[in-house]
Amino acid sequence: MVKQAGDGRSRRALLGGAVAAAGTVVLAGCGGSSGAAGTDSTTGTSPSADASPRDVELLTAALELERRTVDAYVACIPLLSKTNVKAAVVWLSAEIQHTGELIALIRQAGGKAAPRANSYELGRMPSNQAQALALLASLEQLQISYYVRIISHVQLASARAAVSTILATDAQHIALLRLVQGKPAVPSALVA
Amino acid sequence: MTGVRHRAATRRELLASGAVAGVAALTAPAVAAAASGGPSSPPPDDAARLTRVLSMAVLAAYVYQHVFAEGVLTGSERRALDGFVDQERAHVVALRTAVRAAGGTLIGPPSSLDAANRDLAHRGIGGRLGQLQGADDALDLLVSVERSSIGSCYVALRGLTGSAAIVLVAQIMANAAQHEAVVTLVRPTLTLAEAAPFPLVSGSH
Repeated sequence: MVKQAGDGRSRRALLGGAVAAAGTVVLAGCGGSSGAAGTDSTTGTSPSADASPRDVELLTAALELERRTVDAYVACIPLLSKTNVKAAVVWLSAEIQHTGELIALIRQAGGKAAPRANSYELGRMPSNQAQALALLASLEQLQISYYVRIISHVQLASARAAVSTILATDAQHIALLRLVQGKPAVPSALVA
Repeated sequence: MTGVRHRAATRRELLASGAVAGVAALTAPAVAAAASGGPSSPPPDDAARLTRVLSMAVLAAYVYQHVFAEGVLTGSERRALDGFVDQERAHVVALRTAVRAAGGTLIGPPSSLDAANRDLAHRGIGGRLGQLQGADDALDLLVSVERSSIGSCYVALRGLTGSAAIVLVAQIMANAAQHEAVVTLVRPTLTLAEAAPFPLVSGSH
């Protein structure tokens, strides 16, 4: 289920590098910062009506991030206190539903979601609750950063709105993860 | 959900040490700068959509200000939400900048408590300023306001086309969702698991 980092790099570096690479590759085809303007589709659910190869690329990368976070929750929950386990199970369920939502959005955009990998790279495995919470918070943050980066590039308006609901949920998760870590829950007026 | 409940002291400690003490609201100029980075000529429809989001934001900021002024929250509850007022105001500043850039109509705060209450009623938000019976009433009102804020952003995002406006409204929506979760957790009978129970957060709309 969980791979160990083999080269000694920090988890943060590994994860940061991965999301940066994914974002760079996917956004490279987006053609500037005002990509959404004038290309909206506001209705329709059939793939043929809403086909958007660019959305498929953006959402496919998001799906991989969500799948990795699901793996992380599964790996970390045994390390959490009873109270935190209750919450983490709820949040894991949400992350799983996010993967389902993204698969549906990919299909709506005319694509097909890639099969789930056997395992996802999580870096050095946590061995206690503090490390587990830190890993989960770092993965939620990566998802949030990615969604903020791509949301204006998502062409289909319905997909953009759906992405915003996933972003808002992940923002709640990280706020509460920060709380249990003893950190400021909501440090900024604009989530980034 | 039948989650194990936090001891009240533990929850308060968490909120006091986390949500409260370190909350650093963005300064208005910084947020305004973030809001002004969009295209120079956003589509006309964006102006109307941003104005609607702004109208909810000014109401939310007004409600927070008056809930605090009514003194119905306990000290720990108030401290848990202390930075949120500044963040609500920062949303207003950022949205005003965005609305101005889009050529829309700038919305001011409600002119009176009655006007604010009429706006709350119009939006289907329960609870009225000046009539709050205690902390539970106040927290319920704040949760409802945050859900309406989230909903106003969600509706806007289904139609906005300007890149900077989309990013700004998404960031505000996510922040309102965070506020909703923390305010929910402040309510005495709710657990950490119950503070963020929904897999797809779209608010009230």
